[in-house]
Amino acid sequence: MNNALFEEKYNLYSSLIYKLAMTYLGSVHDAEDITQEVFTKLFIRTKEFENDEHERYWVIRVTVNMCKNNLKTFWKRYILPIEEAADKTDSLHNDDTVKMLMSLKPKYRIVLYMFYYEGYSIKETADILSISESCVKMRLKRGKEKLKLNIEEENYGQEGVYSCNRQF
Amino acid sequence: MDKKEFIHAIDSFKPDKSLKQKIYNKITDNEKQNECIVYKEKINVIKKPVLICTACIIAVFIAVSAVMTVGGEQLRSMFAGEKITRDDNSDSIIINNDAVTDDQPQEDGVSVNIDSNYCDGWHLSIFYEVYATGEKLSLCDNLEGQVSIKVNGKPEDSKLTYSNEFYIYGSKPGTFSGELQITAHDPDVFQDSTSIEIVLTDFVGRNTVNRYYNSEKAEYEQLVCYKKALTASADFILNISEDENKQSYDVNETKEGFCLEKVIITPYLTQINISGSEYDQQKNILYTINVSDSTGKVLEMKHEQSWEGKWYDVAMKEATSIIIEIFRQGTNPQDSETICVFDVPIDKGYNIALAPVNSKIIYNPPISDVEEQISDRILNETDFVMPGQCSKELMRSCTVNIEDSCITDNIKSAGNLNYFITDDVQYINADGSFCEGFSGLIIDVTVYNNCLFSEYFQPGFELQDTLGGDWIKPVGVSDFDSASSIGEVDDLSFKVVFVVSNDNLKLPVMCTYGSDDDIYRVRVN
Repeated sequence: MNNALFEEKYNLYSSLIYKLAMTYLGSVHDAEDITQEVFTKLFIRTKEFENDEHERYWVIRVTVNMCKNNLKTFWKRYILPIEEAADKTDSLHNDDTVKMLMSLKPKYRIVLYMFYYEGYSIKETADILSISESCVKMRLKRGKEKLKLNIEEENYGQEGVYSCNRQF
Repeated sequence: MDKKEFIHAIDSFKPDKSLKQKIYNKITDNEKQNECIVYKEKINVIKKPVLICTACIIAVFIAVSAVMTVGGEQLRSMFAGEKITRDDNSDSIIINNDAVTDDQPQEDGVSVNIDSNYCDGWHLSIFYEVYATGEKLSLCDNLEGQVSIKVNGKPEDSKLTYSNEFYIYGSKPGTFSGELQITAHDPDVFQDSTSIEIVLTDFVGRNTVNRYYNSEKAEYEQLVCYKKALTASADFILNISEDENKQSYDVNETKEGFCLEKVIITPYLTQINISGSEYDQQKNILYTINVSDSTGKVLEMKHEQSWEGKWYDVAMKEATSIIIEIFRQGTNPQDSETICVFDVPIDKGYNIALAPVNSKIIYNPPISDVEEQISDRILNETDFVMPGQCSKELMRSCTVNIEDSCITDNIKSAGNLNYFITDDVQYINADGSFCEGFSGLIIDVTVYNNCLFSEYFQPGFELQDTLGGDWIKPVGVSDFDSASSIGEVDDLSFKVVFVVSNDNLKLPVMCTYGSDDDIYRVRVN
């Protein structure tokens, strides 16, 4: 393996994949597993990406799909009561805000993350998550309601621009 | 929570410093351990000008049988000392496996983990996970197999139907899991002593598949695993006890043309029966349903795209009512509008901890490896290019034919369609005609049996207006329920309709279905 390439990709995507998986799954253990798996898939992939953005999309899409699969296992879907999920992770979740975030269903968490943290637009979020734009809007709305986020209403129709820490 | 707290919460998710080394090790190990790969070849194919299919996958077929039997007297003997309390009037029982006949997993075989089961007298759900314990199979990032069942020694017939739903493809190497839904059409099928045999066959362990397309040729590269024949069986014991928690509420309340007929709540599922169409063709309005409980928890639909027979994951523990909201789905938020709300009081919620009980491993003892290279099954050019056909039976898990395609100026000409939620609906007028500059592309598709559809089968059926162009989701598909089936199904024939720009009518278009890797593609002129 090309070590320089590994360094480059790790610096580029490790935080993204891990945060995405943590947001989706709420488990350090699972997030680490997913991060490893996504990197493995990235490095065994021989088909070239069209550009950096395409690669980034691919990484996010694969991460989301793997998180979905992870959640679809029986024990993920049925065993963990939501309020216990946060307690079963690690000390990070002693943070009340994280607990509050983890109290949301994954589908709300991931949309909030994509839109507000990663700065993707409604359309981009919909494309990446393979759901309709209206579904993204609805989940954003409901997710915010549940979090009681002090957020001013976004102009949903406006195309988003990549910018971390989107203005709330 | 405000913005700063939200960002802080996400920022607190920082990978451990050791993760980098773990990833590095995993990648290098993966490179070293690619013993699974027995064949790697790049195939260049010049496409034919009409209908071209490029497909992928298939490597080695690994036959594995896992037979799990719970039978008549055997069941009773297994329950020695326990009371089976299912009386004639009971229509709700819980079955849990809490005893296993096999002791210790061995080194090389296949294990079946039965997570939990539920039976309401008419429907039996079995959740299972299959994973390879063998050194090589357990490394394959995509493991899947076909599932068939027998109940009381009999296969599917007029008294019994079943479906199988796979959940995991490659989330963890060497595993897959699924859910069997068995439906009895006769009350005698599920007796106290019910014998269930699950047969898993045609295991395919495969690794990465790479494809490359352009307008002239297709390059195909695949990495494949071994063929391994395993035959094994294992018995497991189910405890059967009466489930007193099932609640059924006959509502029969009508609002705005929608009738909420019944709400059924079990420890596993909430079922809601509503009559009414999700799409009003006359008004070109799409309706959406939202279900929550009195604690504010939103229930997630198990089969999200299904309007009929709505089943939801249960999320109720402290709920005193269930709220069903039907609203009009608009392409813009301001178009969304609540049509009606049903509020059904319920006696109590459920403790979802009921579901998992004593998950045990059903171990299938190994047989000697009969790993075989599959050089005789490697795709060749003839397999690869078949006009109008994506795949060749032996080489694929399923076969797709585009039987016909046509351009239409009115979507109603496609017949009865069940519509997706898509922004492209805005290009269709209320009378079914397309807005100026747009037309409909109707594709008649047949998918032949022995298919193991991925869970993304239907959403992934998309059209690409040009190579590398934007993906377009269909606006409609007929036989919606059938087309979205997962697992082993009969032949499926259905229509898929896309909105296309009149400027693009003569361009080749590509349909794709499958997971994010776009497994199959068919060109339609």
